[in-house]
Amino acid sequence: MLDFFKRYQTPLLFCLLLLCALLLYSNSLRQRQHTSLFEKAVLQLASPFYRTIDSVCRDSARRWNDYIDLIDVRQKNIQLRKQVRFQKQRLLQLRETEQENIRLKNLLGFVQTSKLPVLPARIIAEDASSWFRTITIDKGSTDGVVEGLPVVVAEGIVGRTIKCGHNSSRVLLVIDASSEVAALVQHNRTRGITRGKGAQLTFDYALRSMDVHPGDSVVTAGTGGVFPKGLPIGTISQVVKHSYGLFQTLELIPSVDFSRLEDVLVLLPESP
Amino acid sequence: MKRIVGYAVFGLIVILLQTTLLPRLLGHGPRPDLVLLLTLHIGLNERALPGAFSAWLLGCLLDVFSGTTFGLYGLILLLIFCAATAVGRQLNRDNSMVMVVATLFGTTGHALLLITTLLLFADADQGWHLVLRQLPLQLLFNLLAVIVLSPLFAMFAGHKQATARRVLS
Repeated sequence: MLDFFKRYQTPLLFCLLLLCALLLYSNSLRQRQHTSLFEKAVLQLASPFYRTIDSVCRDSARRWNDYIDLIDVRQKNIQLRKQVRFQKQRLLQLRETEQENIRLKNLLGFVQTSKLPVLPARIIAEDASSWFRTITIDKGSTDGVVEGLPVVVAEGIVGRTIKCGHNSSRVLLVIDASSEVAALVQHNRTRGITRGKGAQLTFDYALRSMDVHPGDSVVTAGTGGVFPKGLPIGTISQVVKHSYGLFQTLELIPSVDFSRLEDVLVLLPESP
Repeated sequence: MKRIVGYAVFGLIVILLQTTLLPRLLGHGPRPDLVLLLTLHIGLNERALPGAFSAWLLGCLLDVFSGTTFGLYGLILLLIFCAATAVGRQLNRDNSMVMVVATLFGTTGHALLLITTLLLFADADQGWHLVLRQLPLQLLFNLLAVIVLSPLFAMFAGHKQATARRVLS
């Protein structure tokens, strides 16, 4: 027996490792909303690096725009160019401030209409792979964020928190294929479920008899237990009716432009 | 143990780059999967057991920053490592084209394993559409990345061989 183990030590350990990996994955499947100690530790470890890289990237981009292209200025134009540079910098800052102002005003408008306490957060990273649609925000459990909280912007829903570290959290975007949100068509209250499709959404289980058209707005139904009722999800772009079946499928364009997301709001649970 | 920790630290740095710098440089679409390339490199150059542990650990680290279920990439990268090790033994690993071919098959295998795992274990209705749609672009990015990074991989492999020769002598 011992000889057998000695002879096949490597393949046996290999199989054991594979079994461990499989068990870990299958166990995680049952506890998706749970952030393990390992995940918390790695998120915590990565958090300062994220912040540093984020601020360095922003600074570098700003400096690149403002300074690098002005290095080879001729001597006699230095004074003039300095002035231009200063004005450009001021203009860029003002534009940035203007954009930020517009974004924050929108968010503020949402905050004033929202009945739930909100936590503003900044996006600091995206999903590590190309297959999934998640983002990382700079707020974590120390700010009161827990798994399963809705994340929104003024235009509509963004996603929900799935993993929380101390100072950062990961958010599953509604456009991810594993994301599902209970929804209804705003004007005739047709119920269904929206699912992510990468860049767009589909609205499934809409009764075939219901009269829906491209351009109709779709909002959250408030029955899924995550998102409050009435938040915009998207607009119907296409209605797919098969020749048979009880339901029709609707293609949606999300109301949020996910490629331009910078700041988001986490809707915190009401304090008892 | 030292090498496993080394791979984990290097993997973490790669993942941080992949989640912060690459999206800024390449936009929000597909981007090179550097962790997969690192796993393939480990599969072709590392001994079986430390390599397997490293690949699993790299996958678990990637799981913290990607997807929804912890352990998915751990399983997939371990399987990719197994395949790379098994096939790599039959090849002349000093040839730089081996890594390019490994990337071609590794990326395809990675996508197929992802689809199979998601279909078998998770409820991923439309996930496989996304993976398949992005596969050609992902292949292109990974191949470009492996060509650009080939001196780095060659350096790592050379360093390992030199260490092995030193130990033997």
